[in-house]
Amino acid sequence: MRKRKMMNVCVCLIAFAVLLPLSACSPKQEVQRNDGEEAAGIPVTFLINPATNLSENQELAEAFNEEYEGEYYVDVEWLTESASGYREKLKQWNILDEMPAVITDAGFDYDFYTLLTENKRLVNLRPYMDAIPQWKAAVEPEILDACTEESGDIYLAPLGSGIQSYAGIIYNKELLRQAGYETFPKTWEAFWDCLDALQAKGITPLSLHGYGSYWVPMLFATSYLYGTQEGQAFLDQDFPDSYQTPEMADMMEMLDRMYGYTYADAVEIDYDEAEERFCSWEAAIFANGYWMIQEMPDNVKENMGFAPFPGNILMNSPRMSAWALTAGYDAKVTDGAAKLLAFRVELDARNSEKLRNKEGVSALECSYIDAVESVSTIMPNYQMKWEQEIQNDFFTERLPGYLDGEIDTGTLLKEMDERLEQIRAKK
Amino acid sequence: MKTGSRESGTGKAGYRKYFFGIRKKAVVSITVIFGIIFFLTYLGINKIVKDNTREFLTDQYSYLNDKVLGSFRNTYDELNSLTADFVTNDYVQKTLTNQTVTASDRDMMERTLSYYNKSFLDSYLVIDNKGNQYSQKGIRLDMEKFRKSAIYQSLGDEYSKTKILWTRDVIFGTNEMSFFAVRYIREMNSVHDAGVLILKLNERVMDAVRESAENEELAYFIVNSDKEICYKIIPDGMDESWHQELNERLWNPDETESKSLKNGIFSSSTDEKTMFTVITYAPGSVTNQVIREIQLVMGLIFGLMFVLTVAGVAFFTKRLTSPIEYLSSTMRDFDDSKLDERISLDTNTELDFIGHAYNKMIEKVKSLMNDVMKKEKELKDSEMQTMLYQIRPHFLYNTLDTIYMLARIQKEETIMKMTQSLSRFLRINLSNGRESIEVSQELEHVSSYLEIQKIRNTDLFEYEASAEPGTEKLFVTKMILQPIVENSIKHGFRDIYSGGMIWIRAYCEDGYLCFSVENNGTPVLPDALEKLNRMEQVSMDEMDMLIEKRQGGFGICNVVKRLRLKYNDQIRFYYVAKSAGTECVIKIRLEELEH
Repeated sequence: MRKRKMMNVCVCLIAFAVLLPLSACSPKQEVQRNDGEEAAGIPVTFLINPATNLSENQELAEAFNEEYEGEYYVDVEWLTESASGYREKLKQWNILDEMPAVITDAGFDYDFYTLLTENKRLVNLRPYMDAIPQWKAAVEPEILDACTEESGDIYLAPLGSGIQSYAGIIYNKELLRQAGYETFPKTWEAFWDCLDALQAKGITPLSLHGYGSYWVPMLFATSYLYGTQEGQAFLDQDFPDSYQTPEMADMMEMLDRMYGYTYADAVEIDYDEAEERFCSWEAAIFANGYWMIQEMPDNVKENMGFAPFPGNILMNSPRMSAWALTAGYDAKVTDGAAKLLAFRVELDARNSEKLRNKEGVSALECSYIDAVESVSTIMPNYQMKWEQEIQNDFFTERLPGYLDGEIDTGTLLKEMDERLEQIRAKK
Repeated sequence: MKTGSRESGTGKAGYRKYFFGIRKKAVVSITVIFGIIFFLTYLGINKIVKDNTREFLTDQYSYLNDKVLGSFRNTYDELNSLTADFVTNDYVQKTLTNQTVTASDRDMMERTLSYYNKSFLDSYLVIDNKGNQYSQKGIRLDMEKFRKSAIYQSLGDEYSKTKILWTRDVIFGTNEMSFFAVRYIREMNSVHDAGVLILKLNERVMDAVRESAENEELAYFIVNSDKEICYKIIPDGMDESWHQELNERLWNPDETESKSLKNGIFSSSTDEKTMFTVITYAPGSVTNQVIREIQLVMGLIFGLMFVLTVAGVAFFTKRLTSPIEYLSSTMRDFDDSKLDERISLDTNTELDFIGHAYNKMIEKVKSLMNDVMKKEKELKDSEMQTMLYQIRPHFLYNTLDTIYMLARIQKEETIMKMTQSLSRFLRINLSNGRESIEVSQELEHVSSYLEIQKIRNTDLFEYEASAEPGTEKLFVTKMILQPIVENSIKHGFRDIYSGGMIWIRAYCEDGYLCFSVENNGTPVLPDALEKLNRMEQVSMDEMDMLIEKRQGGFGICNVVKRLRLKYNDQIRFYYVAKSAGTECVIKIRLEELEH
């Protein structure tokens, strides 16, 4: 009995000795949490306003990352650059095949947009919009129509409504009050009087710039242009064949007049500098869209008011807010990028509702919504109507001379047409 | 630990004596078990070590490979940056939109491009979307042939990514295999046909890769998607077997994951952007060297552990088995002459109890042997006595009968009576050698004795002897009453000269056969009473010391001893001192009596 017991012990010992190393030889059972696939990063470049160091898209990025945590995340490259500088970079990234998955300002430059679509550089969003019905439903039909190609393809993803896309006049209430104005002038005559009154008080009336894009002065000028029926007809044209029209001549002279109410070096400074000076109370009046209000610090906002251009005009173009998806990324990234666009529309709808109801918004935003609700005329964005080379290269090259009086209006417009001819020839 | 001495053997016999029994079994068994354990453990660990070493080396070479791949990627990034500079160059861009190219434009552009001076850049060629060609070497290509060339075809459907090629130089005329970087040149602003940029690279393009290949024992290869080796670093002295290895294993997916270290380790990573693969090859001579060193150290450690284990087992089993061997030899050598030898063990183990138990057993054996010897002697004496008794009675009885006849003739009543009593006394005394007699015979025997005493001590006492009916025929050991009545006369009647009375009774009571011998003489003294009554309780040896034999104690002592031996201590024997006289009581359990 005892012998048998001893034998059992020996057998157990040998078995243990055999199994110990063998168990160590068995394949490693790695303890690994199965968290599914890794979250896909969606490369995006968003602009930071150099004047305020804020971005209108920060809230979007944070909200999306929270909503899709573990599945997707917006991999943002924050770029401190002007809007025009960004659009130039976009073109460069395209020819280097380095565009982010989502691009903003996709509908600004018609030629570039055409280049992108013809070279299949953008993703047709229609299947994605069909797959996310609430996305399509949240976009107002006329905005969607404006972004839909004749073939039915959709390459531009605009916001659902235009409520956050209007541009008008932003003014410093306190500085206008010092000049005797409690509200912003509603006519062009009163506008000029206001500028005189401000100047009389030693206040620079307008914060204009020149270098780069002439965006702010052109907003004033095109709203002035749109004040007449002929002007409206001209600006409503896509890529006019000639700029030598009386309305354009009138607008250019108005532009020239405005530069008499701004900084002496206005032609040399860029948009960011002009915005920074306006926010620092160096001038009383500026022009831009709601996106600038979003990026303003609260302490700046509290003394600002918003008003339509004289004649109760605001600027808005459905394609202005449009973003697009670039081709070449893998399916998961593209899928996430489409969800980002849909999420943007959803977030915009929530914010627009709050804005419309004036929930928790500043006095400046209240005056913005008042202006939007009472606007009588909406003008298109000239950037989408005229050749980019005219807006950027020609204006940069020739407007300083014109504003200095080196060339007259007729010559300027003639040169514009000549440049237009060259552009058409190159195409 | 104290143990007894042990003989140490010499030669084969000595060895056997030294190394046998429990110790031999323990050493052999444990050596075998540990040998198996160590061997299996060695095998297991060896396998684990081999696997882990392979895994470690694979990781290490993968890391080195990734480092080289990273360097290759950096080279690509640098080339990409260079081509980006070319394609975003204003003059290059203008070639796409300009309708005509002036000599000044061409000169300006070529001068600008020549500023992109890189040590690894051999030549460049820009072909615009109208087929115009710009290079520092005045190249003029046949565009139709160019569009069919591998360089142009390699661009495929790419929009404008930089492509790296390893192909024959049919562009710049050397016709040698070279690296090329090619890229479409796209117009930035509007839709235009694309131009093409071609950069021919010299061997210095791989300088960074060479620098990153730190381990000089390994071979490195850069292979394109067509599995052509574009660049290689082979260590000095490495044999040419890598060709075969590369072909057999690397391009065969089943063989790539070979677990054997014999043939070395391949690590490969493909750059997804360029589809170039970086391969690191560690030949078997390198990988085996590592594992051989580990195996040697491991073998030495396990060998040493085994030797130490065997030595340790031999040492400890010796300590454990020495007392057992001592016990064994002591027991084996035991005989009559060694009854006084004792085992002396102090091991603080169970063996100490065995030693003590053995000692006690030896003492018991000694005691039993003495008893046996004593009893044998007594038996011999008894047999002698019996034989003597068997001879004497005939002569004695005849003599007594003659005395009786003479007394009768001479009418000597007293002599007749005395002779008759003595004859009866002796006859019962001898009983033909029987030990037990009937109660009636015992009473007759004591009566004969008293009759003789009565004649000797005229008028000193009378007596009565009676037996309860039913007790007469019970057998009892003989001569138990005579010494008691002798003492009654001797001590009880020592102070009187007449009027003494002795009552002798036999009766049954409470399962005992009882005898009572009572006298009316002087009561027994308390001191003597106490000693007499202890006799039934003490050992036989002590009994002898208790009683003074010269005063008749011998007879009493003899009676008690015989009763205790005969009836296995199932008796009672005591005296009772009365106001006038003394009573002695003997009780024998009825179950013990002979039938």
